[in-house]
Amino acid sequence: MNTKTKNDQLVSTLSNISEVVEGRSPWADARRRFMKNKAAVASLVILILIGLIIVVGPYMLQHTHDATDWNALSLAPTLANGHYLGTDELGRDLLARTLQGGGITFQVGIVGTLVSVIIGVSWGAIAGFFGGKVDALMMRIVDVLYALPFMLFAILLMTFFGRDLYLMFVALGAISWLDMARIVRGQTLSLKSKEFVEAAHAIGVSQFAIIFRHIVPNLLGIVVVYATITIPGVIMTESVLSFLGLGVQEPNTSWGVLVQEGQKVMESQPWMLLVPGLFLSVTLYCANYVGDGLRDALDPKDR
Amino acid sequence: MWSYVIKRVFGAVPTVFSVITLCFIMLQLAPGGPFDGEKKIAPEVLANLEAKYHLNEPLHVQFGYYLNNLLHGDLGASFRYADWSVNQLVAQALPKSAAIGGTALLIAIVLGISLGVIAALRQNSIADYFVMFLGNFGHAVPSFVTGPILILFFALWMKVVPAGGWSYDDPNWSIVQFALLPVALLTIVNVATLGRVMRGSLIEVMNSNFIRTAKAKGLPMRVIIVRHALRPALLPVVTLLGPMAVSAIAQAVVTESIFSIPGLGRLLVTGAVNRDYTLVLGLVVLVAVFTVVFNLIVDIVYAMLDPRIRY
Repeated sequence: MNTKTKNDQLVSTLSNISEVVEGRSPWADARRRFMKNKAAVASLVILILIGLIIVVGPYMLQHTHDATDWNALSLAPTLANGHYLGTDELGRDLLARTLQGGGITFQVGIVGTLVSVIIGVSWGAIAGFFGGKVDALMMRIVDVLYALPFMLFAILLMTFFGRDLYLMFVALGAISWLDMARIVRGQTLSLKSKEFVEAAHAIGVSQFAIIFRHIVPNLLGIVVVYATITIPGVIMTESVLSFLGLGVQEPNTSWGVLVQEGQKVMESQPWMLLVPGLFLSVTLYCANYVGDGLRDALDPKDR
Repeated sequence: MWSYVIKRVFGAVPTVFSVITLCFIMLQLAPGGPFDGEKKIAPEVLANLEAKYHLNEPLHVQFGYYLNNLLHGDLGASFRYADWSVNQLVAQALPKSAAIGGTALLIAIVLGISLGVIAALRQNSIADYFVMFLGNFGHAVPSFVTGPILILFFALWMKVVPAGGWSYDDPNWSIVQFALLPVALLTIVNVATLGRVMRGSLIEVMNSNFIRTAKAKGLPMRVIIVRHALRPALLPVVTLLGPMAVSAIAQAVVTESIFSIPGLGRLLVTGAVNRDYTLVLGLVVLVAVFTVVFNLIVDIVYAMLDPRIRY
């Protein structure tokens, strides 16, 4: 009787405590830290806005990105006929093209990064987990690839395998996974001696299942951070390739293509250069800030 | 010291070899052969041509010939420019790229390090904000946006420099004027990075114990900075120079396209657009070798600067 009341008391006190002190997951912690970083939050908001405009914008416009308006060639920005930012020498609406190009640019950034994450995480986790000769060989390959000028490799890939959009996604991802592989390998090395991995070994889980079911999910935080940092890099590479005429091809466009086209007519129509240039610069600037903010919030090193 | 250098040189050999092998494999995978053209060549002629270039032999033998040629400094014949070897094309383009890239890198090193030092010593001053701004700017605004804007301002509106091109006997512009904008563009990008890294590393060094000791000894600030702080603070900057020299080449691709300079970068892009496989391949091999050599030099300089690294 006595012990029972004591137990009840204990239970009620404990439940009270749990009401007062909210449990905080590492993710909630990270979110709070990120929210404190004003520059990063502002950048995130701007990025989301740009993303929204790109997705919704084309439905609000009178013109599509590949429609040529013969009554309005090389037009200056105007409110009169729906060409709010003017047209190029073929009469295509600059705003519509900027939005469509933005869509491609964002897609390239995200898909390219996904490819790099898949390669980088698998490579790093396998190298770190198996260790020994496998590790030495795999990381030696990474070292060799590090020593190469990647811009040139991207150009080489585009030269040999044509200028298909999907191929470019893969090519861009395939050249940006090295940092990810190194980081993931380092984390895997410290994770593989943890008890839960030993337990998985003991109950006979296969090695690949351990890597992808038990180790990789624990790498999520750091992978997210470095993926965010990879996105602007991939976008930058895509823009450079497109600017050089080796990336996105007509009728599709991207901000790099638009800057290149704008450069040709910048003396008479400087906005053709400035509008896509501004979009690209702001996006890269904000993406860098969000990446830095996420790293500060999630990276265990700085805690 | 010498044993370290020799070890590093031999360590670089597998890297160069891997690059060449990788490039060779990619060349084999590429669609189309060198003699596929608009008009069909008679099979007998084709056979003779293939025999002349050893294309009828097994792959590993071809690879052997390719390596042998490379060792003799022969990058092969261009696919598209008849009568031109890749070597001749490179010999024409390289001096222009080297002049622009080298000048820009030199200016960037001097300017970047000085700005970084000033920013580190006077934190939150105007110089500091300038470096930080330049750092963020260089990070976010791609050079192919900055470049055209520079042309728009200085060439088209103010008309103080030509909008592009490269010529030694132009009646209107001197070669310095031709070089001004491209060099400036390359410099901006590198100064930003160098200044930021120099600033960060010097701030860290200035907060370390041995600087406090030097201050406690009563050494004048100038001596502390020049004799004690600068050398360790330069280490990360030196590490950066290898990748930077390489990216100067990659940057040159963009810069030379913007300013229509017939250098290596332009050659690479036209080669890529024309699908001139041997030309692109030769250039990539060349640049990869440059890269490895630059990294090697940086490693050796690093070892010389840092007494903690023992050979």
